[in-house]
Amino acid sequence: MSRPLQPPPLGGPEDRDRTPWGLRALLLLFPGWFRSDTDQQLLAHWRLQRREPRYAGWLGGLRFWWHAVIDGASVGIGLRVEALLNGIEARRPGGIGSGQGARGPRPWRHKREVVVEAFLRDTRHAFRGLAKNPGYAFVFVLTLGLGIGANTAMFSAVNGVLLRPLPHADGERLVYLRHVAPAAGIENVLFSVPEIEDYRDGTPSLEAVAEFSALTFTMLGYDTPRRVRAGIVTGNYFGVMGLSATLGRTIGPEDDGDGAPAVIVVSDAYWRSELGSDPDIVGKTVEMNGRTATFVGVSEPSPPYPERTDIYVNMATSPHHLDASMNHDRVHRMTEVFARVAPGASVESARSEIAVVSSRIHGDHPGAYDAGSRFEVTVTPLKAQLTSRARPTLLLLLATAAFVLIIACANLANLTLTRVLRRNHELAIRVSLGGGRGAIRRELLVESLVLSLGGAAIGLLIAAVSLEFLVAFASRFTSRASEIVFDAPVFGVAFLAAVLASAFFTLLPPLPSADGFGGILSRSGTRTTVGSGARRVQKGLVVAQIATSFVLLIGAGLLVRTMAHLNRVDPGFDTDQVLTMSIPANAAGRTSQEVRSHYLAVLDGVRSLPGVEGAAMTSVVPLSGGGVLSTLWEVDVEGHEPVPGSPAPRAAFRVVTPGYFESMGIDVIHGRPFQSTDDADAQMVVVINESMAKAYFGDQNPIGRQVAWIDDTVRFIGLSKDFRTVVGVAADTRDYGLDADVGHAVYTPYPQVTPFFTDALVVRVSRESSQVLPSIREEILSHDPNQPIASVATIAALGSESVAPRRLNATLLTAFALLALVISAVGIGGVLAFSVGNRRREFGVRGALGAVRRQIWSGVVGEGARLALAGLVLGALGALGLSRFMASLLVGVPALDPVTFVAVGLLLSAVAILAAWIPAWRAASVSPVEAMAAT
Amino acid sequence: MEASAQPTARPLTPATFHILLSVSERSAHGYEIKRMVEERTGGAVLLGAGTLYAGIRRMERDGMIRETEAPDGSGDVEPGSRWRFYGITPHGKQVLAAEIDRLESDLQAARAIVRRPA
Repeated sequence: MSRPLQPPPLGGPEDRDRTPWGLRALLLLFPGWFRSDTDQQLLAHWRLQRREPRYAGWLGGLRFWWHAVIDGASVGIGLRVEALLNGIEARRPGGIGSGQGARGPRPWRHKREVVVEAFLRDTRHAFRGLAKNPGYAFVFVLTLGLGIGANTAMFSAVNGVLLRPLPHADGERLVYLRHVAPAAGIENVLFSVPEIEDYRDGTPSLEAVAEFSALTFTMLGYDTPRRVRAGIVTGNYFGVMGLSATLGRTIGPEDDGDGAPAVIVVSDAYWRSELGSDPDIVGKTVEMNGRTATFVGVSEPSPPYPERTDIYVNMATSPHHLDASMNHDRVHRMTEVFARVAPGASVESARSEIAVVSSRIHGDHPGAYDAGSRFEVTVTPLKAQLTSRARPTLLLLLATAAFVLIIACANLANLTLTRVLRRNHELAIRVSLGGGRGAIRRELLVESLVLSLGGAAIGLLIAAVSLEFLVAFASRFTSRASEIVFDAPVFGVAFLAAVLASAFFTLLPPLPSADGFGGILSRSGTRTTVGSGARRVQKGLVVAQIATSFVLLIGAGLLVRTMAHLNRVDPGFDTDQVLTMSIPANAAGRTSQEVRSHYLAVLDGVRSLPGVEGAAMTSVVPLSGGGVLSTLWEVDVEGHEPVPGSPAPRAAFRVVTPGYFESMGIDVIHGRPFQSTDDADAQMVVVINESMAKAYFGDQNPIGRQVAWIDDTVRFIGLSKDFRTVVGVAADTRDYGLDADVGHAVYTPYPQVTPFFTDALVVRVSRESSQVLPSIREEILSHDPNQPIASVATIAALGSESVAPRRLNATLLTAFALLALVISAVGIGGVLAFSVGNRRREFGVRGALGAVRRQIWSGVVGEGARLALAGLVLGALGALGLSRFMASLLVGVPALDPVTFVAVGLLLSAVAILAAWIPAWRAASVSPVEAMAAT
Repeated sequence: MEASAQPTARPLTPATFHILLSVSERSAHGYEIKRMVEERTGGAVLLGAGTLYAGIRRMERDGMIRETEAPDGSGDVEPGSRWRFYGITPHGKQVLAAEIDRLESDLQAARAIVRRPA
């Protein structure tokens, strides 16, 4: 009999403070009603237990925590389930010192108690079994956690962006109208006011049509001068969009018309991030375009479209929107159109009405709709429009994540199968003792449920951690990214994945029939032989893993090759040493000449700074995505006869100051760059890009030939339609991004056009740009302290930015594919190791019979190679299908890129053989004596 | 009492059995019970803290054990310390006796059939 133990003191509050937080966290495994009564005992118990010799050292510490967590979790779950099923009674402890707590069994509860007890027993049994196999539990929970994490994260993105309804009231009735000219390569022509009126009148299916045009304004008088992206909207805009104000009011019909005072509604995002959620914003006034505008409200959060919008203003805020040309000229197109489908009408009916109006106005105004360009108006539900760019990417990544989960499940199924097979002997005895196959299945179910829920918890953790990254990622594709959140459906998906996975793991392992068990028992040894059916399942799972990995690796490989291609793309200019920024002049109250002199003075000042090698102004910063002047205008090229039925020649309009080509490092291939003598009084000249020269002049010398802008739009910016003489040919540049096509471009010298829109400064620096930037800033402000300076970036950063979505795609897919590869490698190795373990005797005998070790070794590696080959063939077939789907995401790489296919095939084969190496080595080193003795 | 007529219709769980056995002679606190069980079984039965205190609670509810004063000679238990000591109840003694009977008869029946290898 043991001697009485000295009960160590059990602490008061000060002792509780000394308790490690880990132990206090452990308490949380137990239900509150249990904890409140027992916590002191438990903590003291754990502290004593932790000091036992067997828990000494870090390994001992690990063991302690493992045991404590397993014990706490199983008991905690048991207590909760018990309390739930037995109601409040279980929560009342019996009176101390009395037998009153004793209760006889109640017949009506008996059945339920038996079921509960069976479940609790299984749970405890499962936890104990797992406690004995921490390695298995760890690999299982981690693998499934990674798989579920990837899926949960991608699902939260798909849910937030593609599935959830728009925040707009009745958002599914919103449509976006777009005016396109596909044959001319123009994705968005925009609408003119007369066009909008025609469409509004001719489409009863559209209940209301709202107008929106984007301009960048300088806002003075809030604090520092700010550049704000303004959406100029009609009074019905907020009503049509179904958006209300969270503060103040929205813009309403009373704000329409020339005489209305200028009013501003701030977007929720800008109000929060830039105005510090100013609660007194309503009523404040600022100055824009030389007139005073009043903040009247803050709009509720909504995804901005077609571009980021900081503030919404009424028409009266923009003088441009009130002039006659804007309101009566059919080709003065600068407006986006949103509409609400009438109750009872459909998008389809709206489309057919729009088509009728289109063909009528095209007939009435042939001059405004060049037939070759094929003008038309598309009607797209707003939600589809908002998510059109994100959809293929998100679905691709969700499919990828699903593949990873499939591989993880295949691998874990194998692991489970192996574990069941290893326990065949134990299970056989239990079946014989009347345990029943149902009971074994139930136990397997509880065990895999416990592990899968653990995996789901890890998965949710992974998804939660990656949420911020995911939002940043998705924001490159859609303005709905901010709606990605962690909510009930996301939890539901993780839970569902865990439950489905555990059902799969439970039902997959074939439990041999009673005869099978008898067969195992009759061999009387401990060595169990695996049924051929189970082995076929194991091998099938490995083949499936390799095939799926192959498909994923091909996808990743194609994207990586695309990125490699883009990194080699020559943008046509230097990216390293060039800084750009936007410095829009405050035009209000200044004449064109004054604005021009202002810029030239700024340029002279910047050029004289130390560390600056050159500076110039341009209307469009390369790689920054265009802006107002990104649309293509019709040109007349000397000697080029328009071909009837084909689109009229168009080119991008660029305005640059002398020194631009030199500052950007753009080669002038023929002729000369602009000079300071190319001023307003000199001959009108242009420089065209190489693509344009080749297209219209072929091998002839383009220098001295004539080009004229003939687009109706050019008069709005004061450009004449006169012929201008080509004096130079500049190398092609990738103005719209490294992954975009090079179009035709015509450069015009700054002094020969109106100065507006030419507000980007490019500076070639000879030092680290951060060293030069402050002095440049200072120089600019010395000319006008109210001058906003925005979008400061190096060209290299812009280039990197232009392919960032692709790079992120490639990175994510590669990460998924490598994860799949690792899981598959573990799968191959595991299955071969198990197979070798079962055949130790066979190998020993063969060794005794004189088989050369290398034969045994190559036999095992050969088995791995055969599995890999089968997986590769299946995977290649799958990849053929996938790569076709991916074609739209590739640049410079064919979908069936042989380099990628061969490289991935070799990589996967190498990994498979490596994974087979260790089991093969073990098989070859089985000693014949040892193997025979073990019989 | 109704319950004590047929104290153990079903076998006790190992935890219940060992806890009951540990407090059958004198009162003990939780950690002490754990150590006694380990010593008695040579480490074959390891009671986790959760299993132990949930078991104690359940047995207390079912009237098999009850909280007692600290036994004499249990040493320097400071006044105000909160270790709880448990002792067996008359009902608990009956349950334990019934379980031992059950085990004995099972064992005899088994011995009659299977002779242990010498």
